[in-house]
Amino acid sequence: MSIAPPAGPITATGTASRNIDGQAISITVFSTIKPWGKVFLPILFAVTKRAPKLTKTLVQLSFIHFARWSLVKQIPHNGPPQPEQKLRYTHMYFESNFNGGWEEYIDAFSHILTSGMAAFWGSSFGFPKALPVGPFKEYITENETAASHYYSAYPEATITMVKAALEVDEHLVPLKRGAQNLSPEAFQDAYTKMLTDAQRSL
Amino acid sequence: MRTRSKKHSRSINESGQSSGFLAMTAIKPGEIDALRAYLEGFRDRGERPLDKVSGTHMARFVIVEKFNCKPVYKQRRAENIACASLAFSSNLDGSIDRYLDVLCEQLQPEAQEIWGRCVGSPATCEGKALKDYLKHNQIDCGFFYAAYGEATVPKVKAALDQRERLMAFATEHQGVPAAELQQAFIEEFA
Amino acid sequence: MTQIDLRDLQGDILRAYGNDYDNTTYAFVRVECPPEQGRAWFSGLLDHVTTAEPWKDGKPLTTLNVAVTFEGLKTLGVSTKVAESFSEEFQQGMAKRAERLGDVGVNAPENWEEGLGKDDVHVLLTINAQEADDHRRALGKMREAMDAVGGVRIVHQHDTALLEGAREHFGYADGFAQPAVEGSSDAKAPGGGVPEKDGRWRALAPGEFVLGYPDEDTRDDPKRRLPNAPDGPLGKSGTYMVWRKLYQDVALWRRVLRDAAKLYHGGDEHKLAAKVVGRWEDGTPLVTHPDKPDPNFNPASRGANDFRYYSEDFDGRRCPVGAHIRRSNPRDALGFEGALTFRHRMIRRGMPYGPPLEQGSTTDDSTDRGLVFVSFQASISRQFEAVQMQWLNDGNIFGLGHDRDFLLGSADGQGKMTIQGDPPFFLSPMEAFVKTRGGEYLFVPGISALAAIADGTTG
Repeated sequence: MSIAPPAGPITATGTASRNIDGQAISITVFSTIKPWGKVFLPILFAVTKRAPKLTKTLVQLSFIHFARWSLVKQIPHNGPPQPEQKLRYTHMYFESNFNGGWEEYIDAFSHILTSGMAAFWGSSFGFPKALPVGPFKEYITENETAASHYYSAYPEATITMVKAALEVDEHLVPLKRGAQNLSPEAFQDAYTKMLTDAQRSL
Repeated sequence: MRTRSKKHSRSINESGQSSGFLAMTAIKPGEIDALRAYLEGFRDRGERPLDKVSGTHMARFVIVEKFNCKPVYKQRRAENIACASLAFSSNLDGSIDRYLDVLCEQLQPEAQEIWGRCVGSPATCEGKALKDYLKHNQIDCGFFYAAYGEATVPKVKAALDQRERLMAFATEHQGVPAAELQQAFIEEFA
Repeated sequence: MTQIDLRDLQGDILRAYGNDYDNTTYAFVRVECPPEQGRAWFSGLLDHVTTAEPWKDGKPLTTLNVAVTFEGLKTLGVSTKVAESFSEEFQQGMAKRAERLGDVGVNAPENWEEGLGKDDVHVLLTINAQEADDHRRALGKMREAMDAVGGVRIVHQHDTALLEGAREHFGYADGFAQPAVEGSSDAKAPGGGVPEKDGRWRALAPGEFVLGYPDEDTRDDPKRRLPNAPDGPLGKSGTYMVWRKLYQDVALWRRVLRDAAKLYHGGDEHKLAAKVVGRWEDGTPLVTHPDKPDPNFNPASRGANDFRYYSEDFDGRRCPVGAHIRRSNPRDALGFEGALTFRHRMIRRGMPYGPPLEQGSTTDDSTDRGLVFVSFQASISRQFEAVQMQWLNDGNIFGLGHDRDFLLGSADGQGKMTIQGDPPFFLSPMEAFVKTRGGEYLFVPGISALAAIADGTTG
């Protein structure tokens, strides 16, 4: 029997309702990049990708399902009536898919990833420092665009639930495989051990 | 003059087995409001069309009408987007190529309603013609973070369901004798 | 360090009046006469309002404090422009935010007590008294003053009294763990502030609790900006107040724990109940004393709250990860030296109400009893609501999925609490141990702000 995860309580707050699907919140931000950022950001992206230690804090914070920074150097052109436009500046597209509440999300990033924010946003025109939080939140709000439609394939599941579920699966697989072959007592021991090992995911 | 198709590097759009896709397509003049109303209408009608596109973890449609600029930003010259654009972003399983195949086939009639309102889209927004159009308008990821990039949508959903069942099972079977416990476990999980 | 103007601040906010005040009455007042008359009555209160200044001649027999709702501000003639400079959640009121607070089903505002949550309340008078006679006298004076003006009446009154041992109705010592605030008497109390690396604690900036002062975000701002506050004289020395009447089903709580304890291998029902709360009944924290209470524990002692979770109990084997006190004040449990928690603290000044249920009884006696929850904070949404939504009514941030705080319970009888251990125990059923019976969002103006309201000079 399959049990759909119960509809969760309200935790997704602080943003337009169209940015929300269940517990998941989307944030979409465009910013204009200063000339030095055009050189700096690709290097930053490459370095961060190759050094998982740098994203360790992001992982520990456990707010984000998926996040992305992309550089828009030119808008793809499709012929008339789209005007030809050669962008003078590079623009940066940022998106995040997270849980918990917009205010708490920005607070966490400002206080805990202060230098990370400076690295990724420092070359954007108008970026105030990440602290104090007030001006930074205003900056994000000014540059944020609400989604017209936002979708999550598992809207009621928060990121820690997903990670916990994957963790539980790892613990359960060997027990599921071997359950038939154990004596009842041996099974009970194995089952109890499984629960004990997996308890922080249950 | 059309910009030349870029070769989109696989690795920068990937994290684990998952990929990030972004396409920005110019919206036909006069169609912005209709497009917005159409996209907003899904939720109002309780529809979830992206359920049809397997491998979609999280996705969004965003209408971009301007690049924000304020005098206090000290940006020497303001730059605005010349033509309003539809940004479609998806965090997905596997390769972008395979995903677009599925999307272009399964997301009907929605794809027609959506990209049919964008400049340069094929007359019939489906199949290879739509895929080529979306790839032409693709913007590569710079840095893509996926918290559980190894897990596909089916795996995530099955794992979530299994976790709920295990918690319910564990709660209900405390103090149950070994043989009964084993039997119940096998029935539920094995 | 910021100097706080104690003469301009109402009392019982930064420094508690203390447990000598056995009786507290909350009188919710509605002003139905024209604004000038209402302000005349309001003005008559001001001489009696207790401030935060230290008491030089011993404790007063009674104290009086005044708070107003959004509707109350407007009724007393505060301009729409100024009234709308208050926070959004205050303007909406608690009842309109019921869904996000989990006040649904049996807890929904439709089921709240008479007078609460319907925009009827304008002013809240809080009267504390040490002795019953003084209490009666103070209430009498309050009513006389209203009758003298006419058109001012009480729409809801709630009388509360301390229980023996400063416990709340489930039997737990309560109210002694409070934030340490710079510039106040408890500033140096270890365990009350922000946990620092070397085992020390840093007191919180006063602006987290009192408007018009720097808070944790703005304290290092080179531009010296202050946190958002209402416009004009109302923005200084005020604070927001959350008032919530919470019914406690003591018989149900005892029954569920008694039955669940039969399957619990870690101890008896007292231990199981302590696991839910995070403390033993006398207040001993589980983190420091996981097996039995400390016979020498004194909640009033300086070190009573000096404990933390991250290094001592990361996996929740001593104090469960989802225990009530760990949820409502995670300290350093979320890592990052408390950076995810330090901006969500509240000052709590609640009172139990109703007579205790007979010791050991597990049968409901149809008596109204519970807790009047009162908190003070600079931001209702960041401090009260965020804790309620993200930490109590949900478990994501603790890695507990959608598990709620077991102590507060759940109206639908669904849900469990994982009690970490070797092996873990899954406590259920999660019943409706606590029900919301009513509440309001209020603002506690500073002394000069009160005068500005009374004079009609709020801008």
